[in-house]
Amino acid sequence: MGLNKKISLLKTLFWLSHQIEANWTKFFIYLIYITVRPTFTLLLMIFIYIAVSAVRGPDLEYGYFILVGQAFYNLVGSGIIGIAYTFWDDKEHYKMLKYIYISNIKLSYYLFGRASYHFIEGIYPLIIAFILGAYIIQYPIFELKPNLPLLFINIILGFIWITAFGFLVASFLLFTTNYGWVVIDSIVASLLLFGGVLYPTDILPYPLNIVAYYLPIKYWLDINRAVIKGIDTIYIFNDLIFILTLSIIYLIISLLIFKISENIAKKKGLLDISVSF
Amino acid sequence: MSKLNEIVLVLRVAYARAYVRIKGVNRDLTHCVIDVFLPLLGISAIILAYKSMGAPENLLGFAAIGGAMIAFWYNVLWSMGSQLYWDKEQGNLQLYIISPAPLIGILLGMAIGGAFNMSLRAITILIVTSLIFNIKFNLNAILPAFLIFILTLFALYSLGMMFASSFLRFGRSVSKVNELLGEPILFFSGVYFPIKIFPVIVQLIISIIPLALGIEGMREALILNKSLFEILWIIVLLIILGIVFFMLAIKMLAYLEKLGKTKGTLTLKWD
Repeated sequence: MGLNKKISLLKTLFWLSHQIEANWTKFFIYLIYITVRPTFTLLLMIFIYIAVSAVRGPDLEYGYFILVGQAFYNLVGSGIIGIAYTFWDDKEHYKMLKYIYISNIKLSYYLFGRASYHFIEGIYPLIIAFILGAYIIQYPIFELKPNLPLLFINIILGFIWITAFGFLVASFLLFTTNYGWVVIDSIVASLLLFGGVLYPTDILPYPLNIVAYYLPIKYWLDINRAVIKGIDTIYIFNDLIFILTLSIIYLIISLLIFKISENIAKKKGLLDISVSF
Repeated sequence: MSKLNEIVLVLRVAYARAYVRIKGVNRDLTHCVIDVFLPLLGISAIILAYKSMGAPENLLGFAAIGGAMIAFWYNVLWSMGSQLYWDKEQGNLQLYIISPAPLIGILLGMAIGGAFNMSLRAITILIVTSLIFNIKFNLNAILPAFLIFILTLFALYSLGMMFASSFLRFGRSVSKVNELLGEPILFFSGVYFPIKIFPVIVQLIISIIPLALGIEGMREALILNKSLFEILWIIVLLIILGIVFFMLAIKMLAYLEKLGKTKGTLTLKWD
């Protein structure tokens, strides 16, 4: 498939995703709808910091740590759930998976396109929640000097590893849907626990802290925290190498697993079986 | 049918519906384990965040109690609020209505079954969290805390019965409404932090949320060692809320059932 064709398909997938997600209301209400959940999730975490600040006194740097961690963690959730839920909905609810499978598009590319929409859609509430959170903890965001090109690159890298996690979940969902949400929730919640979202991973007891070193989210969030502040690239160079390497490794492994799972599911006739609706 | 027979019928229907819900959810042991394991991941992250900030021990206990109660809110939203709408989609609602079973009995059974299932999980979560993180509770206050817990469930599931009857009107937007009510209510209930950090006016407004009151009451009893007299206002408020929500649920259900029959919206278009 040529590049033009791929871009055209991506545009169609964006349009389709938007229709499926937002056709129940007006665009403005939809924007409010997608903002509410991530904003209140962030507020839940920010108020943990405020509760401690009320007793111990404010530590703005820790507030910033949680603010960036949770704001970007929301993006992780929407990205992974984006792929997994799309897959589940198409297979079980709309029963469209078999039609997608026999059409002129690779299933993996279809999921990639649908995931892109969810990921990009997640950036808007991220910005709103970040600004609101910063205002509540009184973090001086106007003094920040973000390195925007590097932030953009890091977000792209984030998209790669988040998509990889989404494909891993989708591989599992090819075989079962009874435990589908369990897998999705387990992965998303594990990333909260091990990913350095709310606290530095050093606080985790051994051997749990080792897990964090093999998760891209830790490096991803650390880089985000640094580049939003405008810290010189030299100080985060190692993290950048780690995130780049891990993102590529995760993507290759997840696509391989997805391909193998797809072949097995095809042989066993599982592609058009629905069990949950 | 005499009033007594009507009540007996409601209770029999409630028992039947609760039986299905309890049996259905607990027959798969894997699901039971997962229902405890998954919330533990989130609660552990919150407690570790508190530890990392050097928070006082009280706050760890606050997070453990609030975290264990989260499941009730989602259960009220998804397994109570949306249930009649799902029943309508699956074609069960029309069967309920043409049978002699009163709808209020079905809702009551859903509430009792859901509350029982979630209680098993919440108590297990609380015990496991306290063991992992060595959180100390004032066990002398276990009875007042249990009383508050039961009253919270009464008020919360009565609210759920209200949702169930009103969500029946929302059609397929119901899942969006549920999603919009999820995190904001958890936030205003202070599931991970004390609600006392909100301004007084906000505290007054959120005292109509049973979850917020219940969590606050249990924290005051189990962690802050408050006497029964000091938490009496919470008990009274929960009783009032429970009765008001329950009465409203009965009225709303009757009204919406009548409205549905008149407008023909109790079945799907193609049924």
